[in-house]
Amino acid sequence: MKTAAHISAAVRIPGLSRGMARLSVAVPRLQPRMAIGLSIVGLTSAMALLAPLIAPYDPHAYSAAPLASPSLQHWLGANDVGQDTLSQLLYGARISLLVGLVAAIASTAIAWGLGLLSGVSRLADAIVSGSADLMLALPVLPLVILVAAYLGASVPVVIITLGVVTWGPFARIIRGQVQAELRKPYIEAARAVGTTPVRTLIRHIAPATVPTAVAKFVMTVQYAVVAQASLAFLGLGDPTTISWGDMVHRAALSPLIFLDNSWLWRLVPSALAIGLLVVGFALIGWAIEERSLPTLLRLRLAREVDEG
Amino acid sequence: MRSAIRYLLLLVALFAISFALPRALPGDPLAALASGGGQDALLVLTPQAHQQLLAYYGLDQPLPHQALRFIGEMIRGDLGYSISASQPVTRLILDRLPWTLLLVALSLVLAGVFGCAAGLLAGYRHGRYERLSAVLLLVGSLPDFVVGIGLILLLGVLVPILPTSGAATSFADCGGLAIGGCAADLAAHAALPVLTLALVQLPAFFLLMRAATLGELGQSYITAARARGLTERRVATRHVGRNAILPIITLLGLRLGTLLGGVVVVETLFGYPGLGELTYQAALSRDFPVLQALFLLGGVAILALNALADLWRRRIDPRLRAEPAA
Amino acid sequence: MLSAAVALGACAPFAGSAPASATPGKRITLSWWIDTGYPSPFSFSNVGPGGVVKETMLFDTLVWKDGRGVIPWLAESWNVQDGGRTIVFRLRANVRWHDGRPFSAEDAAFSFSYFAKHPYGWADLNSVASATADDSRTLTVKLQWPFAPFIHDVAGVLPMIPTHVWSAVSDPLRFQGPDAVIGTGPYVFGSYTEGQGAYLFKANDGFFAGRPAFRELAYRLLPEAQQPLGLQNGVVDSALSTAYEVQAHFNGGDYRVLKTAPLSIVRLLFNVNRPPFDNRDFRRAVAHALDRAQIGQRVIHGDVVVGSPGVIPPETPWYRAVSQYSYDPDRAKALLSGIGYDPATTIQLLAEPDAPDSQLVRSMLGAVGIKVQIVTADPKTRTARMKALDFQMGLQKHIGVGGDPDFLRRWYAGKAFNAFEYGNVIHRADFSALAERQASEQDPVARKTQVGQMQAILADELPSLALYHRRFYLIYRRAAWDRWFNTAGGIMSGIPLVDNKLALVLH
Repeated sequence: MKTAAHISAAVRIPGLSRGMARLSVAVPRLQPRMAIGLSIVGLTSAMALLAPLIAPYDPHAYSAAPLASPSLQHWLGANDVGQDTLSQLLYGARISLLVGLVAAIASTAIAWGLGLLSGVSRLADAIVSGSADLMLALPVLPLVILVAAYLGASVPVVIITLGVVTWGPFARIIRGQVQAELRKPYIEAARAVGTTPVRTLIRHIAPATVPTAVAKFVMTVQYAVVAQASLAFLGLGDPTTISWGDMVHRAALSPLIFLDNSWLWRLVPSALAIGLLVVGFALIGWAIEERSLPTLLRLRLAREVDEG
Repeated sequence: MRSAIRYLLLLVALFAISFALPRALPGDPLAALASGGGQDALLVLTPQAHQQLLAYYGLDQPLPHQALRFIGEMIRGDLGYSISASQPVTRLILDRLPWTLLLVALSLVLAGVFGCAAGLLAGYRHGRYERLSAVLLLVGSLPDFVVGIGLILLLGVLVPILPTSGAATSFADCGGLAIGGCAADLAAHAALPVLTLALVQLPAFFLLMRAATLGELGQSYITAARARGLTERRVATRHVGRNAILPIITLLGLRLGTLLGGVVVVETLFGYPGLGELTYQAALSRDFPVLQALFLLGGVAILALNALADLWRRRIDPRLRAEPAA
Repeated sequence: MLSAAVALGACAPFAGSAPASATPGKRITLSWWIDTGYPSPFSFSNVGPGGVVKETMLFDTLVWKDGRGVIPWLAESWNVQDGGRTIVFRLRANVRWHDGRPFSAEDAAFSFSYFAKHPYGWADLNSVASATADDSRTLTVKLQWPFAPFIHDVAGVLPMIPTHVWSAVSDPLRFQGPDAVIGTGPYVFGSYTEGQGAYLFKANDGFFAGRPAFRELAYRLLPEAQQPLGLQNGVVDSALSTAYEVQAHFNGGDYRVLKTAPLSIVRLLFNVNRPPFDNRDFRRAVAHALDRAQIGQRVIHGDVVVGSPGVIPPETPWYRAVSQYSYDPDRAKALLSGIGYDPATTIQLLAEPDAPDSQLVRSMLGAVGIKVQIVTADPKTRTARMKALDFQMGLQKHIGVGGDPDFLRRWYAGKAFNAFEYGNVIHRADFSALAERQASEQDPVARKTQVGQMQAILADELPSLALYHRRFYLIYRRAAWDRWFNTAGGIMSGIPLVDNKLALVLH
């Protein structure tokens, strides 16, 4: 989800930075947000890493009676074919985190690289801006569905598609930042001394873009987790793995899921898990943004001046 | 105008992608253009049948020829033929478009109106609604289907007051008040899907409006207006609100991308017969002409909405109008 | 809380709508899991039986079936002559088409010749040499050989279509106007909305066999997972499910459950033309490796009828006990090492998406050292591949095994014509000989023996393995209608549904 600060990058609002500053004052403490977010993500990561050790059963094994209710042997009961819900929940964390993190890494890398590249020359800038705008115009989920229909919906395909399609918005922001930095006097000085454009980029400009990249990374993880879960929920996910979205999908396929109480242990845990993980990343992303807000905003506004 | 050219170029690029995608992905392009199979189904065809199909789709022609043919089809509005539905794709899309438009329009209006009103209010109260903002932010970051399932449980099962699937009661006897009766039925069926989409969209509008309001409130012209003796309400609506709206308009254009993804999930969850559900069905049956057409349509819609938002902003904001078109 | 929800659900009116059947006798709303297309005899979807049963509400056949067996329908009597090569039908008088014109033997003769040129998805007309109208009420059908299942599988399946509509139509698949649905049946076509799978049929007051019980018969689309909720919320008057727990949930109170015979089969098809399935011992190893009862239990959760290697289901008249393949993983492993099976091989299983059966099969075969990769595809693709024998192992769920056993000849001798029949052939001369003989055997006792022997050969050769059989559970609201019944051997050629028009006609 794009927050207020990010959206405001698209238009010029002279008073906005002042408004945001007031917000920061009004907000009492930033700490809890980051803390809660980090603990959620940390807990999920622990689940994912320790799954083989703490999961009571193999998530693919038919270890229980079909539709078993929660019991001592199966704390969260079993799904419609008799696989242990708790084990699937623990292992499912792996897929969500894997897809989220790897897709975000790819996307951030592309956005960062291209954003920086735009500072090399005017031509590069034009190409990067144009491509970024094009990416923004694509409907992401339909595109992922289309590619998955061609190539089969395996985890690598989903990761690559998400990584390749979501770099647009942030490449633009980083490009804006780069352009703003380029105008600064110290860059001119460096050029005068004879530093090549590439060197300028790497030594001077790139470090300034780090906070943006970090914020972007977190937000992309959030988006990728949602996208993968949605795809799995539709039944278009990887058939060899069981992710949280798959669990929700299977539960929704059951005819009685809403009529008896089984939605409590078959639907709620996985849906809640997805929701919590996403919320965790959202909190972290929010905390990072508000902390580095003034800097980001100034840079974006400066970019808008240039873009006209 | 510079931005008009930019949009046009993007449109051309979009069409180019749509043309190139089936031909660029691995496998036989015939698999990608003839639906219902994917790469494996082609093994069924005899060599002559294969050649015939290639000729029929023009795939044995050199690429420039194919491109010209593609352009011709686009101009004619011919989006191909869906073999799994035995209908031209254009007709399938036109049949379902009204339903999706209904959901998209209603949810955007709901999210926009409520989000902006609440945002204006919250901005006025100088950031006092921190808890609410936090909750809304988090609700808005949830996946659509999680919100949707939650609503089904709340309003369709535990307290069953709303229908949870379909767009209308089939063959509903609309009774004497023909329009009124059917409208109520349509509204009831659209309620949960629209609510789901709106809930996910609303936080973005709320937060942006709040930030923009806060920004406007600090400006000198507001102090001037107050000094002139305008009521606070007047100040809020005519001055703060109108200016704070500007970024919201841009937001509309940017939200459409995620909204289209949400529409696929929500329509499938609620069995709503719109374009999103069509995407899902087409994905299941590997109906490539339909998938490609929907992708293209989605991109065009996003571009169009962004262009419109740009235009609207220029009209409202005199500062932008005064800019030289560099 | 549950009963409160049911009560609320039953009372809460959705604004502007009439409950599914406001007044008994006015409208009844049934449902099916998918949209089945325009209900003319050429354009309804053949994926599953949902399309054809709707068509039977509009069109009639020469003979029909009730709860006990074949009954006269458009033909009030018939005479089998010439050792089974000629059948003379005496047709009913005063039958009218929906547009008012009279039905006659000329229409029946025309139907046979038209369907010979434009095949009907559910009837095989290969055995018919000619069909002529001797007078307006007498139809003589001459067969190329004394085809024993003719009455059951052809006369009871082929819809009669009006000459005055179809004689001018050369491309029946694209002919989808209002004339395409003119039949003689108890209901007249009203409307069809694609995408919502919504059909509305209106009562035919001039129906020859009685008065339609409802003024309007409506069908709507409701995926299997939503059927119970739809029933509870009054969206439909009956729900259909294959899951045991669903009917257990609804038993009692306002609802009744009618369970059909276990005639829906879930089976594995082996492509005997391709390694490793060209080796009979391998097929047997697969059979021993699978705990079929367990598979059934985990998928339908109760009341599982394990499939017979002879294909014809237990508890049906033509069934004969054959050698079973008990669940014996050790024996499977022994067979595999006996043939020198390379455990590095991967076998592809072609199945529908979301079928837990395929995952279970993969897991069980994996336990004995057979690696399986599941390839999912939509029904059209699967049909195409199986027809072209381009697969190794396939999983199919379908109906059609409860009626006349001639389907064994069609399936395994390569004469299949319905979507689910493709993909299975065996190459055994004794089987083919028996298959041809039983098709013309007029003596029922002899025929039963022959069919029994065919089952024994099938169990021996194992070209396919019937995993289990499932029932359909019809859960219906008693107040709406309660005259549902099970057709003997399934509707038409073996469709285990309750949409038999007899249930909706008062006579």
